[in-house]
Amino acid sequence: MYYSSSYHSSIRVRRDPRQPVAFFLSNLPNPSPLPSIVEMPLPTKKLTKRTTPPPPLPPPSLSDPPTLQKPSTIKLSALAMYDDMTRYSNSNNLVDFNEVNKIISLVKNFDECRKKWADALDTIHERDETIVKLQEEIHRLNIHCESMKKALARESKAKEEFQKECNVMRNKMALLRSMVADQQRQQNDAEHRTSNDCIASRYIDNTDQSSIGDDQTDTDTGSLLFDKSDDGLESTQIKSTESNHRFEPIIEVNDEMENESSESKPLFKPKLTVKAIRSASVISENQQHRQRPQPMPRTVNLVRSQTTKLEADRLDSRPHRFMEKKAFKTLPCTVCSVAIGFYSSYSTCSECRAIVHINCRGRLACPCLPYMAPNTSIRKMISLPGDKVLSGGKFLIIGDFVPDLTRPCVPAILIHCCNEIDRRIRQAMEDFTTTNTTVSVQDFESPVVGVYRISATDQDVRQLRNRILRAEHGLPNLDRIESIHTICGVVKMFLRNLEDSLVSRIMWHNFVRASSQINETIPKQLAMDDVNDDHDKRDSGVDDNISDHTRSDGDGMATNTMMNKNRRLLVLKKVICELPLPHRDSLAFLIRHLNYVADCERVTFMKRSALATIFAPTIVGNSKFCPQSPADLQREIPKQIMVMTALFEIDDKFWQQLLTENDFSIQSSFQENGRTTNRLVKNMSSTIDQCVEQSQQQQQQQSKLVKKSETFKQPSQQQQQQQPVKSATIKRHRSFVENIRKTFY
Amino acid sequence: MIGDSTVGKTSLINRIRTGTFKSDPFPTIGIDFQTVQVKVDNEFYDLQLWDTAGQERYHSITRNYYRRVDAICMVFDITKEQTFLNVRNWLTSIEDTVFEPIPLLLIGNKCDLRYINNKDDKLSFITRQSGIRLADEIGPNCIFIETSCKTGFDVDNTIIIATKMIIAKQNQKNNCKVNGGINVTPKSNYTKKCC
Repeated sequence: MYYSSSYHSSIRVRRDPRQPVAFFLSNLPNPSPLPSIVEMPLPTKKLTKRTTPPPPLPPPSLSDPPTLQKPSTIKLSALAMYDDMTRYSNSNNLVDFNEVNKIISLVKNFDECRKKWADALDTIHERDETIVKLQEEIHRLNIHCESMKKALARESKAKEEFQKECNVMRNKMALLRSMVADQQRQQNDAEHRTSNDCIASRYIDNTDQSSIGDDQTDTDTGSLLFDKSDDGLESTQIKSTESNHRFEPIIEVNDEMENESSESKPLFKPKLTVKAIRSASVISENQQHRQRPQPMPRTVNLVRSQTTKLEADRLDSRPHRFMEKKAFKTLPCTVCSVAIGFYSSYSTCSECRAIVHINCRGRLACPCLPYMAPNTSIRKMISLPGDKVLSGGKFLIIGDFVPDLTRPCVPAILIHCCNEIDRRIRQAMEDFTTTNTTVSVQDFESPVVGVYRISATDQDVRQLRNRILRAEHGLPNLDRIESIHTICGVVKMFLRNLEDSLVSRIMWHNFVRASSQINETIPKQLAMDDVNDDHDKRDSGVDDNISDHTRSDGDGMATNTMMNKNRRLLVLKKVICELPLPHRDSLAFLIRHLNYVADCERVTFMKRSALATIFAPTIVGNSKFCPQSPADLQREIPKQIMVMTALFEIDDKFWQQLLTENDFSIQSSFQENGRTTNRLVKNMSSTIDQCVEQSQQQQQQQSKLVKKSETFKQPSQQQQQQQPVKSATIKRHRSFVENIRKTFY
Repeated sequence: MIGDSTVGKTSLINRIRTGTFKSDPFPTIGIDFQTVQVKVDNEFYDLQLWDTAGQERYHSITRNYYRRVDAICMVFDITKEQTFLNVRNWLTSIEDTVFEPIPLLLIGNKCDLRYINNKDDKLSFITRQSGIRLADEIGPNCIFIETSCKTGFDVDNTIIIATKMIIAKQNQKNNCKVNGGINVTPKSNYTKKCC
């Protein structure tokens, strides 16, 4: 190439100045033999040159040497050189191949060198970039480091402050202790000095009424005699019995402080309560023996209220208890699932362990349900592969999914899913009411059509279920689940996977019996409802039905059947109350939820009967634990549906009371039902009164009618009496007329 | 006839039997069957159409009826993708209970909605091609058909194809038996079919 370029340049240079154009022209075609010799190596050179970009620096230095190397001594022009070359070639004097090869290799070398340069440049660029990046990172890290240092300084300052506070508190405590000790000593001294026998005897009488009877008098009286005062006795007792409690000294001090301010006698009670709280369930026998009988019921009450901690808002809007924290490791936000930045403050709920950005607080799903460590049955349910029920292992019961000692015993998974479904239905209802004017009912498409009936993708459902069950940091945000059917699927799958259905198998037959009686009383009504698609009437409560029937039928028959129905509903209610607590509460919760779904039939298009069919095998379940033949299963389905329809019969108030009242027992339900029966009796009596009135009226009417008929009879008799007279007169007239005719003719 | 809930199994059977369409039927309880007479090649065949409940809870019951069945229709809803995805689940449950290859019909129901709503391009539908592809994947004994219970599109065709498939399979069986030396000619044209 450099040949050619130099050659062209030489041509250009040469053509302008001087003479032998003809010679040049004559020589011009000559290059034809040249290729045969020179071009052999040339093409490769050309190719390599063309592919690589022309280097910025070297051309002069490069192009010079090959052309000038040899002729430098001769100092000829380029044209002369060319002439020489052609002469060589013409005279078949071969070009020195060694030289050419050397040049080629040299050029190659240069090429490679240039490539290396280019590579080096590239690498330099890369290095530069990396350096920039690293510098940025260093900068970032520096900032980070500074912030960390600041944070550390802050924390250490806070720590120092706390330390100081702690020291102050400790000093205070020490002071108080010494004061108390002093006082005790003084009191003891005083008691010793006065040795008031009556106080001591009274005290012994009070405290050891029960213990004297028992065998423990030795130790107790011993300690008592040793301390010689209520307070001292109590404190030592607490120390001896409950020294393993962490906060014991503080509480003790508090007690003592109270003791300081008040007299010794009424002080007995607060201490007992403290004890009762501390050892709520286990009341040590020592105490029982020692304590006077009076405060006992109180402790029992405390224990009970603790074991069944009723939180009515557990189902609706239990508030979260947020605490602010600093993030030291990246955690995803429960609501928006965006990671929380390092050392930025976030909120965490102390009960459900939800972790949220401070901005996301408001969007966290509301009933805060305390975190529950995964127990064996939750783990088992997570591992469940599909519909197949694993044999062996822990039995899956709904109670295992509820933390102990909370009262509306409904699993968190159910509460959250159902609330979310409720919310969506409500939204759909609002949309429906707003768009109702423009869109007809048939064309209306809401996302909640066929809730619970349409199935979702199996995999999605299982994934969501596992996510909810496994949730460590609050329940996942269900807003983000696109399809409502997936949530419904979770509810259904959860209930399906339980090995004991909500209506426990032990009570299965009771339920069937109770509900069959109910359904006997309402077949007509059911049929009517099915025909009219009017299920709301059934739901509207007892009074409406009664009034309806009394209005429509007008006699006591309807109320009679209603009476029967209510009595039988009462039986069913009683059976429901006998269910285990988690089963009962979950059943109540679910039925209320399903009632709501059915009430919104305009958007959901789900009737109660359809819901009953869908949920019958899941809620009611089968009668036996052992696997049954499909025929048996099939046979039980109508019974299950019957139970479901009967459950739908029960009024909402009952379910609500089940969920919200603290000790809603059968008695209270009986009272409730007693009220309804009372109402019924009143209704009955009123109807009877009405009937009596009606009959009286009828009697009156009858008597009136009788009178009327009598009055009517009289004229008829008169008429009858008058009739012969009339006929006689007619005869007379006729005879008269005939007489006249005779006389005329 | 198996498939997810609300894909239209009961409607399909109603359509075949009575030729009418009843919107919003009641969810099927457990299992149900209807008998239909079909005329194929100038011969009458009695088909028992077994309707199953799509609700997940009833699967344990319905699964027992797959056995001793001549053909299975797997129904999905072309307007709902999840029902199409669940076809594979149904397939596995068939494979668990039925061991020999039996004629399968993959039915994409509610295809009338495609022609109505497709102008708006609001809904994404399962295309005919994907249905055919799935049928090919399942095997040679599977045929994909699109039907519409509302308009009655291809419903009669479906049942005729099903009958033909059953007949072909039985002939095959009989031939085998003939080769084995036992000649059993089916006197009654009674066939049973699970739909």
